[in-house]
Amino acid sequence: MKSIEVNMGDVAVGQGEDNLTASGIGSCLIITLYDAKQRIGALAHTMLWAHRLSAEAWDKKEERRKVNLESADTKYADIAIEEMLKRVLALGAKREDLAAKLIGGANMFSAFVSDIGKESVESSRIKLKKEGIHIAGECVGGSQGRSVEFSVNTGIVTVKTKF
Amino acid sequence: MPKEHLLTKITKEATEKASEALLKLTHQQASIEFTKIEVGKVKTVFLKLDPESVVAGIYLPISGDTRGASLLIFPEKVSYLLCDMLMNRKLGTTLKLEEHDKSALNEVGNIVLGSILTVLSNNLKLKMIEHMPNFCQDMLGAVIDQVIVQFIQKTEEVLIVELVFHFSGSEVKGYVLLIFETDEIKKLIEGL
Repeated sequence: MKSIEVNMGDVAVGQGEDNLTASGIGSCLIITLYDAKQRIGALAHTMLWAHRLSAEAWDKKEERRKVNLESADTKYADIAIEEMLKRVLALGAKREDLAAKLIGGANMFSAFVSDIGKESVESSRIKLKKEGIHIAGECVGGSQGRSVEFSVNTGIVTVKTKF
Repeated sequence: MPKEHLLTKITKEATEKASEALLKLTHQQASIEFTKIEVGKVKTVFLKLDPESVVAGIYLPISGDTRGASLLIFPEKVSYLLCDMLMNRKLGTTLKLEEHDKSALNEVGNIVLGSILTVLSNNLKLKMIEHMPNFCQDMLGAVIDQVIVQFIQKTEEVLIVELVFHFSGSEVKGYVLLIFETDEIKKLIEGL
């Protein structure tokens, strides 16, 4: 059994008895993907949404290349979702059996005019729907920090707060 | 001036400025010392700390010749002790922060962050304007990530200032994080 702490901007995959964790999440968005039949899961610790392109332009490779979105920079939620899909499918997960969960996207300081967490949540919902991935649960928004523990064995995602 | 001497000068000047103000505010019960300034990648530095430890965070946006953010972080227990001192209560009285406590702590943030920014501004000849402070108390990782995320597309390098709060008989460590947009941090790094 491996326990993997997934830091800001990273993606990790696990199988069987593995645990994937992310500690002290504020506006960052944690996205998990899980195939319960194969017991294969992934967790992404994302920071932003690469919203430099419209939905139509996003589908065009040459448009993405112009704004340098070809590299797997998984601090962006949309790129992280694609990277997670690639990796879990490569391990034998079935797309039709995958379910996602979203955790985080809080607004810790009210001074910030733009609510980056909320943008990441809304954009991730759209992206997952586009990829045909069902969202099985969410624990998002508010102004509290969270820690996440994802058991790949059971599929259970545990969310802790301090207050 | 050699870089090491300039860094020592900045920490010394900021300590004097902030300590004098904090002693006054806390009725001579607390002082502060800036012990180290370094440039680093924030992910690396804060990986040494427990992201789930509960801290108080005071965020101060910056504009002027440099646009960016300053964030003061210290352990939860320091926020309670400071409130006792600021409000003239017996030490150990405060166990939970009310709105007026948070306002008082914002004032501490103003002093500490204002001191370091003024000294940096004077030494580096860059105008820095501080805006309204904002308070948050939660897990360390959660407190810093929103600030980092605002600037991560422009820079991953930050100025990290280590500091120590001195209370009677004890010392507690805290940090100041200073993040500026790319061109400005380069100027600062070159200046340092």
